[in-house]
Amino acid sequence: MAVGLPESASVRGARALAVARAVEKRFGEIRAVRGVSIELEAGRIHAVCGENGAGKSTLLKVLAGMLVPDAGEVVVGGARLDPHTPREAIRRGVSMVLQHFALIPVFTVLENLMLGAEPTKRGALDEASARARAQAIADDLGVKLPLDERVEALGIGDRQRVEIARALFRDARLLILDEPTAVLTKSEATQLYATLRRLVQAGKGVVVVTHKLDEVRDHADVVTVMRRGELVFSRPLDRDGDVGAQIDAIGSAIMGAGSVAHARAGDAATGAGDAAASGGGEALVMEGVRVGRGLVDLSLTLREGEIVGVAGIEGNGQKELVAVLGGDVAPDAGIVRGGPFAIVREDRQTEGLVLDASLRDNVVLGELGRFARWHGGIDREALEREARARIERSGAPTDLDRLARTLSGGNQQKIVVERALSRSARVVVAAQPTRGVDLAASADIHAKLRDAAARGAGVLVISADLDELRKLASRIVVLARGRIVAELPPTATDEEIGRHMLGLEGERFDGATP
Amino acid sequence: MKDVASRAIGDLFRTPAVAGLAAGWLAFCLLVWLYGASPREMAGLLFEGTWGTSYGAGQVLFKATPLLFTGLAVDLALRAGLFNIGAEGQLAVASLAAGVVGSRLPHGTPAIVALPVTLAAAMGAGAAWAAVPALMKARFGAHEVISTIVMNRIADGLVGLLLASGLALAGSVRTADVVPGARVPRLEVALSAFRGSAVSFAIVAAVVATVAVMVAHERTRFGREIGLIGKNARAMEAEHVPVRRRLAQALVASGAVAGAASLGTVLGYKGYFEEGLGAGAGFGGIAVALLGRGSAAGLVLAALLFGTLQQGGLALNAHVPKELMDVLQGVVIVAVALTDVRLRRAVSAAPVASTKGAG
Repeated sequence: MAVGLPESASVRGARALAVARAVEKRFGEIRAVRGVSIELEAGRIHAVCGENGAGKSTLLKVLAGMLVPDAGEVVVGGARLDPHTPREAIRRGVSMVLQHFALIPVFTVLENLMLGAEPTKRGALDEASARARAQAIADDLGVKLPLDERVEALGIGDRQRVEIARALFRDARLLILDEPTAVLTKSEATQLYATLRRLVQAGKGVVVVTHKLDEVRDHADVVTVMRRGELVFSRPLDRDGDVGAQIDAIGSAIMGAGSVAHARAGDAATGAGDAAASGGGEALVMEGVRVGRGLVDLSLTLREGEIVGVAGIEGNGQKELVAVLGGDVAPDAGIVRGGPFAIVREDRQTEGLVLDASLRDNVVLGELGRFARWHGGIDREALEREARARIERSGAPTDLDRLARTLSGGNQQKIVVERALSRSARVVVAAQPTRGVDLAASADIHAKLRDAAARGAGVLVISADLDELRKLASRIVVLARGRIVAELPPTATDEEIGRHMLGLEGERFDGATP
Repeated sequence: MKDVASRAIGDLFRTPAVAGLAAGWLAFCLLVWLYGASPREMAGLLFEGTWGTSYGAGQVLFKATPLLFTGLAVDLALRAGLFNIGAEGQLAVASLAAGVVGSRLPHGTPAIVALPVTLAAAMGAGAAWAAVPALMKARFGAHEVISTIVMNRIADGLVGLLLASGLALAGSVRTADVVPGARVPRLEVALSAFRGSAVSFAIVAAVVATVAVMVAHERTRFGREIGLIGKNARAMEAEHVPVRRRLAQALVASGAVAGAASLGTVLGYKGYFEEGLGAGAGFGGIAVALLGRGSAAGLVLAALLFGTLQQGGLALNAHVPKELMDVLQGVVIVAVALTDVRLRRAVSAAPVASTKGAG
């Protein structure tokens, strides 16, 4: 390892808040974590990288007491974690914020913070002291927490801050975040890291699971790479050395040697259909579309064979845009012309898949009518043929009897994308198509979307990941406050796009530098 | 090693069937012991009075017949993620319909007409009774647990009211006899071993219906769709499957199946409907569905188990009160309910209507 550092000196010097020793975790026949040892210390941002299914989340869930290891030892706060429960881990200062939030939507922020850790005064709830404490935490974090707002009214970035505050409310000393930026825009992510930096400076430990190497480059102190359940390495990032070379080394460690070139090649083949785009007919025309309070006055044209990226901060009408194109709601005003539509919905776990059903059911979900005979029975041979063809095209595991739940996020998403693209739609709408998906699967999914465009579909990609939009789209439109406020070429910089996203057009961009 | 073993045993006791049986057995021992009897002796008596003789076995099958129908009904709804507590009321209304329609047919109506017509009336009445909560669910998102419970109470009152206001024979709480063609023959006609036992061909119908419904779940569009809705309604909604309509249809179908239980009570046993006939079978069906866990074999075995407990209660009545068996049944239900994930999901699931905003 050329870029190795004097590890022992720095790592041993720090105080370990949680330690895993030779931890092993199996799910059925899958060895998700294979004899991994790791130390998580205070005073650092520790990035854990790896592809989907590399075992990162599993390892950290074991450390946070949420999963019981099959072998090995977990030491938290100086002693073996016993009983091995989240409650005990939290008691000892280790809290994990999951990818899917665990807040109660109808409770206010304050109520969520207090939940399960209610301060009492002579047996009665002591809301005043809870409020003071919450305020102090918010001040420490350098953020505003709308304490009396219901959580359901908050955007995703705010919810995440509430989750973090909730952990701090329970005196967390080690905070583990599972892909916290997967749901955030770039500027929100920058803000998050600024918050995390403050925590670290205050002596807490922070662990972040991430796919994004630019975040590692900009924010991490220590990097751990996992691949196929094993720990590849864990070492500090040497800020005085060649950071670029270290990041490259991390990238190849994540992918396994050899596959990097492949993924990059896929990324580089930008928009084969672009040339044809200008000549294509209109696949979708939206004029003055209003939907509830989310879309105010949206106009947009999508041509056949073209990929258009929709950038924007979450909560600026993306949800309503997908809902109106997906036919879930009718527009309150304006015209939507085009279709048929195929939609890749944002949240594959709740909207895209039936996790406890087989891949067979999932890959043709909602299309049983096509296979039904007059008497309501299903033509099972035809269904089997179609499901088989689709699953083989998808690039996901081809065992049709397998439950969707058992697939990694990347493979789940491949199924969702394949299903949408199999419907020979003229308009493909993909919302966050590679959120929380590893590099190789992302490259696959991008290739599929390009293919769809090359076959003549108009493709609308809604994403918080500007790099993704730049890679795929021939033009990027910015959605802000329910309107398209700008149209930019894919060469636009983060700052340019960001300025429009924040509605700061014309002003100096001073978004979210820490 | 010890860890793994003890965890495996722990997991085993978290499976509903094992938990239910274990809790049931413990409760049996405890209760019998409290009455000063010997659990082993009583268990022996229980077995003798049920599976020990062909008459006893026939009686178990007789008790199991309506339970299998109602268990199948509750299971059908549970697949869609609905908890149909209303099989009790649906069956009561259906039984009244069977008694009334079956007795008003021309006396000489051949079985090939009389039986289907009467059964259709019963199933139709059960379906109609279930249609009320189904519509309330589809239109307003009313939680079916609440509405079906309420409908049970209404059925209870309504059946009594209708009987009293002219549907019953004067001075009684029973309908007239159904015509001979509408009766389901006793099993003893074909198998003399069951002589004297009340078991009828309705048990055969119940088993056939169970298998048929299970196959339909797998092989029909409706069956598959409600199964998928039960696992993730939002994903199905996103795919534009008419989720609310399917849920309503599932609940109505469940009511129809519950109504078919009157084959075992009205048409296979008494030959008329009287107030209270078949009472308890709807609630028993919940236990059967929870214990049977969505498989034909499971439902049949569960129905047999509860049939055995009911018949066994009579066999032990000389030593311990037969109500002890009701307590036992309750214990099994609680143990099963505590361990059943499906049930927890059905009860805690938000009403569908509220998942889609008005805007």
